[in-house]
Amino acid sequence: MIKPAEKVTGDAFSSKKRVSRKTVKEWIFAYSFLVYPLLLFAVFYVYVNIDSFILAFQDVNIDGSRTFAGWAHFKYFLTELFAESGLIKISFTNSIKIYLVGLCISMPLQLIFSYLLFKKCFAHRLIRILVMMPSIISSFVFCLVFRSFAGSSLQSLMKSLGFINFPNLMDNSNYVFGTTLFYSVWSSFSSSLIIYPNAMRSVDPGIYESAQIDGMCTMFQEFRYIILPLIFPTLSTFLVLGFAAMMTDSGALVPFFMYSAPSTAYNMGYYLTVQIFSESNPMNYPGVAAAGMLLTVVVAPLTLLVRYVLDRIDPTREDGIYGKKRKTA
Amino acid sequence: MAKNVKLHKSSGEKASIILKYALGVILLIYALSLLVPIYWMIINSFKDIVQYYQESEFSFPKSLYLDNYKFILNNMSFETTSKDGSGTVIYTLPWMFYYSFIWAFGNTAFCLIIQVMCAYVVAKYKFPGRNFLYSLGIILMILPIIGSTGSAMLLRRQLGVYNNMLLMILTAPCLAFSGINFMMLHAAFKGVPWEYAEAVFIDGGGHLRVFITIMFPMIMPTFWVLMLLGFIGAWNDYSSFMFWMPSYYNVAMGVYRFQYESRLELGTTMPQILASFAVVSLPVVILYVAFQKLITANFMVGGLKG
Repeated sequence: MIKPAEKVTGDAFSSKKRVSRKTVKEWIFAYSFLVYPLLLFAVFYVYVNIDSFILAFQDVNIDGSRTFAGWAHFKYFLTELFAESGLIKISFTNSIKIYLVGLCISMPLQLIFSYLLFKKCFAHRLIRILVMMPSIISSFVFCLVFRSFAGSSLQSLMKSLGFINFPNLMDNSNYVFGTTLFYSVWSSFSSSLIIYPNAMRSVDPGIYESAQIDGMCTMFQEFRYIILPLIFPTLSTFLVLGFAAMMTDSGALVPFFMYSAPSTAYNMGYYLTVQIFSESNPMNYPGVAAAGMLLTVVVAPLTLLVRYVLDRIDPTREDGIYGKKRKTA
Repeated sequence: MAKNVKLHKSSGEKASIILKYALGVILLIYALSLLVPIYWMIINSFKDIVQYYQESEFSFPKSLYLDNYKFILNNMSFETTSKDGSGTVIYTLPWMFYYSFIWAFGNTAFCLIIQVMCAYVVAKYKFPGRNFLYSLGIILMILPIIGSTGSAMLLRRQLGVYNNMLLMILTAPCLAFSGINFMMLHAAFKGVPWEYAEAVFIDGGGHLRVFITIMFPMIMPTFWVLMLLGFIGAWNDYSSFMFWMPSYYNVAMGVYRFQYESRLELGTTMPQILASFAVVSLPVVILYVAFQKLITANFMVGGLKG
């Protein structure tokens, strides 16, 4: 019996022979598994996105009918984006800040902590259980406990320690964005401290041994010259997905505040969520569609660019920059 | 020579060991900090309102006050509009648990089975459009299309999917050939040698039999990890109920609304709210602790090649 993939390659693709009955049976089997998800994809993804594109140029009236609105929603979004202190401008800026904090603080810490777990630091088993807690316990439970704790409880505690003017970090609009940002970093380690150590474990132990023979003996050298290059595909996946989600991730604002977050804490994901769900008013939908389209036009090509650059610098790829250098050497 | 190396560590190695311990302490402090809110929630859920306000919020309760839990089990119920809008429905805690289980198990299992089927044929069969489908899955994963929720809402209302749990489950896997789950399953199937299937073909078995009796059982560890994580995520999911199924209540949605409205309308106390948090968290914590080894050993993500 021939492996289907090889058989099809030989019969149906490489040469121009007639497709055999067995090959057709394999195709039918494959398509029968795919027909239902593809149908759902066509209706709930392709149609929805085409309709969203059209909706961006329309108004939805009270009776549900739609009328042509031209570029009005785009103009509104761009005006608000560049306004002095518009909500959209705050949301956009905060989304970028959240992404940069994630990239520059969370990710390096995740990698360092993952390396420690991989090296089986003390209490590593206990730590692996504890760090998953924000993912295991419902996000709103964790958020609300954090909110109560970081709000009134922490304020009372600090006052009892003599800091009489210590603010309520969750109510004071000057501190609320910083506090939610801290929460997003604090609770972001869970699954990454499972995935990265597993990726590190998949590296061939022989590589460490040969590196030690070559005189590579410190943790930093091992981390920098062996671990990071060899887990780069996993790292790259998270970098790309993180960038792609920059404008859609609402963070913990819904569980923290439902629809009534202070304007200083808004991000784009939360802004779009509030527009759609707070009043469930279809008249808001075209504005969201236009905003989404403009953001997609900016973020989508940048995401593809990030992916391209990461692919080029991937040390594990033979056709990447380092792969070619290796070949030349 | 080897002994000398072990006995006389270089300064670089010594610095490495010190750094490892220092960072380890920071990591342990961080991990323990995640316990603080949970500890705070549990101890205060066993206090009566007088103890809660008079004593430190971090002190252990003098006696275990179980009435908060009795109150939650007996009184947490909500009235909401029925899905056809003709009347109202009252949800009590057992009904919320029932819908939590239906959503967590039904939605996760159905989506995952469809994803397994997609990943299997894309990994193991070469058919026209296979490479396109795989690349499309990767592109959809990384290409952010923002702002289509309004259109999705309009369509789901038109088709009757909105506010219908069964249809929500049946239409959930619309991106079954994309995402982290698909990637993990695809990689798992790629790792299974096709030679296992050949024996079944020799015995006269077909493709479906190969899938059910050979290939699917071979990727069971990955399947169970995704099932467990999906189940935990769906158990905790209140937003799907809030946004897409407002006439249904699972425990997470019930507790969310309970804490949101309680102090305003129901007159409940903070210890009672914290007891409700403990009730919703307990099943998934038990599930995670029971299967922690399986999850931590098999949860891996590779690169985005395609």
